[in-house]
Amino acid sequence: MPGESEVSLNELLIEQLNVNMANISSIIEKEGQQLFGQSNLLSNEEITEYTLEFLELFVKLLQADSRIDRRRKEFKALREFFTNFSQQLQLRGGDLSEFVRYVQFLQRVFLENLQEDQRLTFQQSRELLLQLASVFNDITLDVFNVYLEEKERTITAQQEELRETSTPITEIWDGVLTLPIIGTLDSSRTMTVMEKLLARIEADRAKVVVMDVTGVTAIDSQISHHLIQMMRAIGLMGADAILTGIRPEIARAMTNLEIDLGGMITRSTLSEGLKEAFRRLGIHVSPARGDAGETR
Amino acid sequence: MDRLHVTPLGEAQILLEPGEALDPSDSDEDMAQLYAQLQDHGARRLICDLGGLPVVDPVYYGWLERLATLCGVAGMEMVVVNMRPAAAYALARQLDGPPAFACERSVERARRRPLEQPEEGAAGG
Repeated sequence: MPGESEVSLNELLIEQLNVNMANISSIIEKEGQQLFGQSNLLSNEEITEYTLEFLELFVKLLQADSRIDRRRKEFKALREFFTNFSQQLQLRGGDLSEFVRYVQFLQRVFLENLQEDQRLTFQQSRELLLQLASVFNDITLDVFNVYLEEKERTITAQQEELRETSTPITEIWDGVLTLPIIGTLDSSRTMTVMEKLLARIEADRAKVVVMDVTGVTAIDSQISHHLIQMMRAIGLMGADAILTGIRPEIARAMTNLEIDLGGMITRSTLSEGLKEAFRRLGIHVSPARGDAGETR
Repeated sequence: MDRLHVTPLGEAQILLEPGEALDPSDSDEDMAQLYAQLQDHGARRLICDLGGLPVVDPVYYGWLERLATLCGVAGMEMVVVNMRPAAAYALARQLDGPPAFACERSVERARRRPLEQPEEGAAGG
């Protein structure tokens, strides 16, 4: 008779908790101090608060129904408690494995406490084990998800930051933009760079864009295709595109791939590219009077 | 032609602003009328302002190519101006080679481009 046994299980758990609350609370607190207190992740007061809140929420969950229903608001509240708890620990540099060990320990405390109760039948023990396992497994899964989400958020933020810093578009002179490209140029990055670059051309009314690929160490047909697309888009915006810094190994790879840069302006170095940009703007750069060196 | 707004700019240069009503897939009649207008003005350069166009799709690019061919037949240079970033981006992805026309950032810059002389020694426009 599952209904009856479940009712009595919840009742048994509540009874055990009421009788041994002080003892259970103290065991949990002790474990918390060992796991989180020694590494200064939580203060003793915080550990006590978390322990009491957990026990209160757990009792509420047991009292809510004859069986633990995962859709009930009491269960959601318990999960939310652990989610916040684990987030707090993660923010303070806590380790996921420590927290999982803590959740497993909580489960063990209840089981060990009930072991001493002679009224429990084999069937009830089995059901109790399954019930507690299912509750704490859900909590462990939540904690894992929180941890993974946080990691994913960090990685996405780092990728975004890397993208921003790896494609700095600078107006080096009135109407002249420079864009050093470092690393690999995949479709997604090309899209981001192109969007930013074209918007800058429009906003700054740029006349020349110098794209420097000194930082590109390898090239394939897709990357070169993206480069050509970028140069065409710049041209369509009415600006001149100058490609600079093609390394010998890149030039060799382009030749092998039969990539034709005919019709596109290329210069060996960024410096040469800038000279070409100035020439196109009719700007003449010469050394200040008194400096040695010839006028360029 | 409300689909194609034509403004003579002087110095044998014509500004063309395609209107929203233009159907790039069915524009033969418009092209013929435009050709007649260009001839009437003795135009040497057609400046096509795409500032109002959000995106260039293959059909629209086909129309621009036909316009460039028409300019070639009339011995004119075609310059597209004011292309918006999204339009340039979309078009760059479609192109296999250089576009069939020149591009400039603004009408003023297109106007300042040196015009090719029709014959050696002739006065410039």
